Amino acid sequence: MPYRYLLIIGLTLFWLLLSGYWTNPLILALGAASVALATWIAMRIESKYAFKDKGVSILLRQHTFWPWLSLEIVKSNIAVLKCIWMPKTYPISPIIRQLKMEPESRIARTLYANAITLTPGTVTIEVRDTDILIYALLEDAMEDLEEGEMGRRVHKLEGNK
Amino acid sequence: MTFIIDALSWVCLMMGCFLGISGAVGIFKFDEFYSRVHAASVTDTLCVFFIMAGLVLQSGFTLVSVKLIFAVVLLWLTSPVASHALIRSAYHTGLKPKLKTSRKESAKRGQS
Repeated sequence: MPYRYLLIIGLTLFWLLLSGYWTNPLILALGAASVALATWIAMRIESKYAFKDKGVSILLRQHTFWPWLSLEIVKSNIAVLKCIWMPKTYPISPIIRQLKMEPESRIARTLYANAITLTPGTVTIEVRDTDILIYALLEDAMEDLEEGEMGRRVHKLEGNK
Repeated sequence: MTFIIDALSWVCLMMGCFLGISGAVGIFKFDEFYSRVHAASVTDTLCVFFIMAGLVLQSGFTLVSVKLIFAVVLLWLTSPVASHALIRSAYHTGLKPKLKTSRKESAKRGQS
């Protein structure tokens, strides 16, 4: 069960960084109790909905994805800003389309849909099995998604080349 | 040195303010629900990032910076979920989006 240990380590670090009192025994004891409670609740959830996906390998490869995604966010922010301030020269062209997606595991699909929604100009409306329904503010943004760069990158995170 | 850091942080803060105001203006300028959500997502992403970056530069290597970075990560992870829930519920209750007006039409609407 690597997830349990990852959760405990992560929550402990989170508590220590947020509290800042690293020597007060009362605060540390309260922190330990909170970590134990949160882990217990998470384990209860996991016994019902088993977390079988390749979570750890995806977590370890995040550093290849986020720099690229941040760049995309900056680019699409500029595109949406143009539409806001200069609506005459850059008119919006809203469009809804259903696309196939490459990522296979549940967590990678969640990551993909979240990444689409995080970039301004595109929003995920619905996710069904391998289909994803997207609303885009600009036709160019939709064409970029159809071209599939983001899907390929998320697919790579799963460990498939 | 402090002058350079101060200047950088002010540039970041001003950029953040500009982006936040643009998001607010966009919410009023766009003409229907679905496109307004996009204007709000400008505020969600880069505006938050720039304001937090400016504040991190102000506070330096302290626990406060760590908390600010946590706030950015939290917002970047949760705001897509919120806008997805909003748009999905609107779509399922049958609010029809206005789709793809041609360039001419939207140019006309911009003038009137």
